[in-house]
Amino acid sequence: MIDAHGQDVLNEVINIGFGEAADALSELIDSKVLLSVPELAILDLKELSAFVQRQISEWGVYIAQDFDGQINGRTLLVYSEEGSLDLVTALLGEELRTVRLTEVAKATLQELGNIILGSCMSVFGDLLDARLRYTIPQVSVECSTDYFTHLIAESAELGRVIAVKSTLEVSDRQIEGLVVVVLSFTDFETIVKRAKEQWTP
Amino acid sequence: MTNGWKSNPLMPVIEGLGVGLILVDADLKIRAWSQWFVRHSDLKNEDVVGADLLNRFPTLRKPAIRRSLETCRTKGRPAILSPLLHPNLFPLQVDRGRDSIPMVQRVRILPLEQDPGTTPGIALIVEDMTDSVLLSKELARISALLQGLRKVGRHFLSASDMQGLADLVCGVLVEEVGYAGARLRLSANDVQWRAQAGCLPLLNDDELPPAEPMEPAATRFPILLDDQETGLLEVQTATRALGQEERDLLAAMASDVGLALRTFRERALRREAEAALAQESKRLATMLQSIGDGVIATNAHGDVTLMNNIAEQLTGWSLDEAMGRPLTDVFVIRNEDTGEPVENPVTKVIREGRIVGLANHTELVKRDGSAVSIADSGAPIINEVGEIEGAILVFQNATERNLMQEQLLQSQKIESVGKLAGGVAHDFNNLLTVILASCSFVTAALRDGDPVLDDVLQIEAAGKRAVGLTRQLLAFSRRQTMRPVELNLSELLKNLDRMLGRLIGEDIELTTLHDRRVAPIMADPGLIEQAVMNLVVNARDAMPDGGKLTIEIANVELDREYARSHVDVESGPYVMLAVSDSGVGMDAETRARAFEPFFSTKPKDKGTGLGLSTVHGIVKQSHGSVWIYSEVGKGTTIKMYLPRSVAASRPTTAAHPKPGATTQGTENVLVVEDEAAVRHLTQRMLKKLGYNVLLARDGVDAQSIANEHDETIHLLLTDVVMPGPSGRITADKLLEHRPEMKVLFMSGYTDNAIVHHGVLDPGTHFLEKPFTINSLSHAVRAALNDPESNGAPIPDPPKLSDPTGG
Repeated sequence: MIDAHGQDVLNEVINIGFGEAADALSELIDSKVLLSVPELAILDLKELSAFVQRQISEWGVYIAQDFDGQINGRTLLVYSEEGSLDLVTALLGEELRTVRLTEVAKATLQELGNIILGSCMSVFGDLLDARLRYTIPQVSVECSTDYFTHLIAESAELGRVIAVKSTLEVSDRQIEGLVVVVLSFTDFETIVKRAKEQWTP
Repeated sequence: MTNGWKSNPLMPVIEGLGVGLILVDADLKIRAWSQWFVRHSDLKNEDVVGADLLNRFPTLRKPAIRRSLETCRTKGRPAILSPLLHPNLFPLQVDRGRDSIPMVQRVRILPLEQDPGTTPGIALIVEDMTDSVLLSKELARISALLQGLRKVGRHFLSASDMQGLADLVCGVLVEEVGYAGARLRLSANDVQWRAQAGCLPLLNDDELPPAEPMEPAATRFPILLDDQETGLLEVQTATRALGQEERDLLAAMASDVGLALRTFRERALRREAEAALAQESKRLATMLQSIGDGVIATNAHGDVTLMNNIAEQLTGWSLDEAMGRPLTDVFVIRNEDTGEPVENPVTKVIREGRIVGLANHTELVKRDGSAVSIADSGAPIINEVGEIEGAILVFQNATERNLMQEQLLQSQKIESVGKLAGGVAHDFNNLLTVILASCSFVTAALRDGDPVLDDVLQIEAAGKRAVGLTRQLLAFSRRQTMRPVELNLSELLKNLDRMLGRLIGEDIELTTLHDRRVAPIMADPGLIEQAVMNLVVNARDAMPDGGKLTIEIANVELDREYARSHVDVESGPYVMLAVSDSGVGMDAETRARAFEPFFSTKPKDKGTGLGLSTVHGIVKQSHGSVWIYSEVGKGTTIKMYLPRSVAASRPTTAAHPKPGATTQGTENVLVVEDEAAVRHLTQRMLKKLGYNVLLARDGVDAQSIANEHDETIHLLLTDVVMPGPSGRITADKLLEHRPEMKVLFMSGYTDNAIVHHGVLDPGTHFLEKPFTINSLSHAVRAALNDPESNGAPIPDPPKLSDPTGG
């Protein structure tokens, strides 16, 4: 599947993407945003639902963005409901806090998701020296076991999952989130191979 | 779409989407824009199309946006600019009602690709999110308000006071919900009111009413307490009006405040009531402990719930031990005479629901088996719905009370017998005066050897015995004339010692316990001697086979408690004189009657029945008290308590007949006496002594005789107790015109007219009836010869009755 070295370099690659994302977010809200060093897990797509369930206490919200070009796949940013509300409050302030996500909150999450997911994929693109196409991220609160069932069905040709756990820290709040990259075995192998080549002295 | 894009077949679709579209080329020159913008701004096509994007819309120059544009152009990465993080990127307006307000926008930046790998341009899609944002904000406010309401609801009952409540409510509204200001105004009964708000000064009480209006204008919500408006919740918003939903929620909060107020009030009332109850309980507990009676409370089952210390003492149970036990275990009662159990009053109280008194002659059997005579009563404890919740039993030791009652009865009996005896003695003295004087006249007239002489002497002897008895009766009835002096009992006993020794005989061992420190008393030494002798004689007679006789004197202090429990005793310093014997003793019945005159256990010829009565009279007249302690077979102790002297004795001019020759005279004597026999006898005696005698039968008569008599009246000899003016008044009247006249009173017993508490007034001459020619002659001579006294200088002449009523 992947050796320790492969996992290390992959981790490093994603960390660079997170670093860019954190900088972009900090600039955006004019306040320090940190994304913790990612914890990486490589999974089969069919394991994803159970994995997410373990990591995110309560199904909440996901932001999905598809990409294609030299590699194809889908990225997801998953937060618990509480986490997503905390995140929006951290970005927009206490007075806009609601008990459910509003359209405005979703728009904010959309921008945030776009930055985090785009930064990650952008690093992959740079790795492959390829230009990828991205869809506008979709924010959905319909995050459930059903969603992952459908995702598996839709993405039958894909099979590999890079799941990255990271904590976003902003305005004294810490919100745990999960970045999921779903792609084919081949594309995965390509990325790992390229990463090893570039990062191995 | 304009300018070069008009021909695009998708144009109607794009315009129909309701979003704005701007197309820029790789150099960020605006190539085209949709008509949507024109509808929301005053921008004109020619101002926009062909212009540089960042020049035309400088708000897009922010680094984050510039980078997004750049990334999109170079890497084909889309970007999203969310409305709240990037407000008003484009100068667009939307109409809301009559107002035109800035449009809140979401901008999406998308790459335009003709061939993969190249980006000839960028599309900016602008979406109106004004409604969403306004809605979100309202939703957020309502959400915060709901949470605030919940918080206030959760905490308002724990707020300690109005200030705490105001802090909570206003704090939530300003800090958590985000209102510009909030104020809580309270009036009506709770004149205290407080204001608190993030941006408002805290107002003082004296600013009410009217309160300063809030600026900007506040919306007010009435606070109701018992359907009365008692205050206002004022909420201030910076710019906008409150929505209906918000108003409803704020009204609900005001209503919560009203509820909190009621709770505060109830809590305060309850605290007050609890404090009052605690106070009352404390007061009751103190009362319960300080009350002189035993008190036991029970529940409705008759189990003990409370008892005070007196109850503990009387029953022998402690409260801890008795608590929860049936009262019948703790309070065991029976008939004093029969020993039969008596129904417990509490049982009856609980059964009948009314106050129950205890039957007479009940005794309480203490825990150790000893019994004490008690009096008690029980009362039900009835709750507010009329149910019996228990009973209260109140009881006291009746031994003392019973004893006091007996003492009182005894003392009343003796008092009435004393009055009777005194009255009889008075008449007897007049009769005896006549009898004895007549005897002396007859004796004088008879020749020696006359056979009648013996009979006359017999009459005289019997008369003298009668005089002795009458004296004792007078002593008992406390009408004996007293001449009290300051007297040391120790001295008195020493002087009596030898005589007492002769009196008791050799079989009896006499011990006299002197106490040199014994305080002086105020008493007539002759009478006290008589009392001691009477007691010693009684003691002797109680020990026919010999025994021990002890006389003891000591200083004692009779306290209030003793005085309270003994009839006719005042507390204070006394000297006790106790005479104890080891003789046969007395049973209860004898003890009870011992002071009665003519009551005697001795054979008829041996006792007069006046010994102890005399002692009683003497002690009482000396303001003391006398008590018997005696048990059959164990001997008797009689204790006299005589008050200690507080002042030196006042000398009185004694008229004791002195032994010696008849003293004669030739002065004029006015005799006033209502008893004809005594009057004539006195006249006969005085004439025999050489005096000139004027006779009057009463005070009025004396006055007229004196008026008609021009010569000097040297002496007035007057009875004290007479119909009409008393001897005292008669003397005073005569002295007004004859101040040089001497006065000699005569009487069978003393009277308030010339004595106080049986003590002769200073300077008064007095002759006791019955008198003989000898005692008369001395008394008359002494009065005539007294240079100082004529009876006139009496301290308060008109009324000499005892001011204390005694």
